[in-house]
Amino acid sequence: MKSHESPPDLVEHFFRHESGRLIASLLRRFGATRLEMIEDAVQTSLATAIRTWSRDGIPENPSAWLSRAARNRVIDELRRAHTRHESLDEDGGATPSRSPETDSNGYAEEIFDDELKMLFVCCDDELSPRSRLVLALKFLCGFSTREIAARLFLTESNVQKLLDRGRGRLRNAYDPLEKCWKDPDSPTITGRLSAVLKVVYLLFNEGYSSMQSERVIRQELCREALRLGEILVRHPVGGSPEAHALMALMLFHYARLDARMDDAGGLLMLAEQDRSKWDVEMMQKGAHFLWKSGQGDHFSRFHAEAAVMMEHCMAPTFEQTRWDEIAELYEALEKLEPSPLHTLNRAIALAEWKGPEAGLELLDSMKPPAWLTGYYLWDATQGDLLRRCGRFDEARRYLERACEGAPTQPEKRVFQKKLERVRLGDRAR
Amino acid sequence: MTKYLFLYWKPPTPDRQPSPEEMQQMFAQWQAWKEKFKQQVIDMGDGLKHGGRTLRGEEVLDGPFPEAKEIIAGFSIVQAESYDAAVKVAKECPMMFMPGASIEIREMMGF
Repeated sequence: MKSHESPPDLVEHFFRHESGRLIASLLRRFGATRLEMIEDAVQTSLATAIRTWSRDGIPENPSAWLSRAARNRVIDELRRAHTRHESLDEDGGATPSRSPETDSNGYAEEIFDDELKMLFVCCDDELSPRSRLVLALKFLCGFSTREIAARLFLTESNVQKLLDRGRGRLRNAYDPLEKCWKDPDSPTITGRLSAVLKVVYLLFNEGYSSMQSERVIRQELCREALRLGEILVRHPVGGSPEAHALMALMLFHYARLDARMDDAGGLLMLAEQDRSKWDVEMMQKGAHFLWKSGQGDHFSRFHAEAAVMMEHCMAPTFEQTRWDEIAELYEALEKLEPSPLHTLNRAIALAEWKGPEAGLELLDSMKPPAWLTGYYLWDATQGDLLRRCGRFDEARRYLERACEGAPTQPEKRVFQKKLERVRLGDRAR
Repeated sequence: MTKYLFLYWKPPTPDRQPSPEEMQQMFAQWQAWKEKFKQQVIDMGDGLKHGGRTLRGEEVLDGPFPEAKEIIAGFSIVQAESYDAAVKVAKECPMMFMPGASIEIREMMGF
């Protein structure tokens, strides 16, 4: 009798990631006008794989198997359409042959190239950031409409609408981008890179801001952002210093993900977190990327934000954090990308460095726009600094407003705890 | 041991296609089922494409009846001691996790 070895397992999310890779490579091969046909072919190939593989076992190279199945499926479809209409299509009637193409060593590199190109196409200028995100989730991450809706808190019909419009744009935008692709210095490509980085960071933040209830599915978004980031940095087109800095930033955040929640699902402030729970390996990886991002003389917002995070990650305790460095980095950020939110963060760092009065002084010198004064984190920061200065009446007003404006229960609970301390006349940090 | 034919029935048009992630779960379920009942499942069988031909007398009809509420989506061959034992195998078949699906179990004549 044969020994009973358990069958080899597929890596996690294999089908999901593979469907993205298949769509990207088939688009290059058969053209973006055939997007629907290609999507159908991928779906059918995955279904066929379920039956065939559960009968015969997983093939030695499952990716190559799927790629061949999907490609042949498209070719069969094209043939069928060709005979049905008995006319020449836009190819001049040339139907590709079903070649049993063997896999070259360049296969993996080719796939990365296709995936990255697809990410660039999804970040088309004419699409809103939200549409870009939805397209990336669909075509690079392999999520279904329903899965996207659940992760972005959108309705399925809204996701469907965004996808329909996105598909239309993709069909037209693919070829022009493909033409520029071979030249990494082309303005189309270099100009698109910052939009691509923003979408990857948006994807990461969608996952990072998740709360206990939806933690599992949303944290998956962080891992997807990291995966896309890896694709970016390993490619000559995407591997800019800025992309490395973004990778570092995301890794530093990711390293602290589990330490942000207490056992009851409550949100822990930086000062309350158990630093031994931070993931050292992730932080080291982040430091490596930040070091690599120093090549070249470009200092981007991602460099500054990653450097702030690195300060936090390196500090042995909250008190021993180099708040002076952090305050300066936020000042640099204000210059790179002016936003009152950076000033707000600088005020928090200043308060730790020089005392709550210094933080308040900076806030008082600001001319905050209306949206900021209605923002719960503005109220929360004001409230807490006022409490630490012993100005309890004012502190209470701000913290009550922060409680009302808090978008999530765990955050609301944090502000309620602060209010309790106001009641007790507690000025301690 | 008696052989049984498992006929997998399902609604002709599913309300939505499974996502890649769900398909990978389905695959894992089929693998686990085959492994758990490797003494019983002697032929995983196959899936069946939509459409087909039905020949009746001189008449050739397209497909199973178009108005059919359920169509046969696939089959497997299972050997078991009894109908009860076959039902046990069927109960854990991943086909049963699909909404609206059912399994028809038929003992083979053994000609």
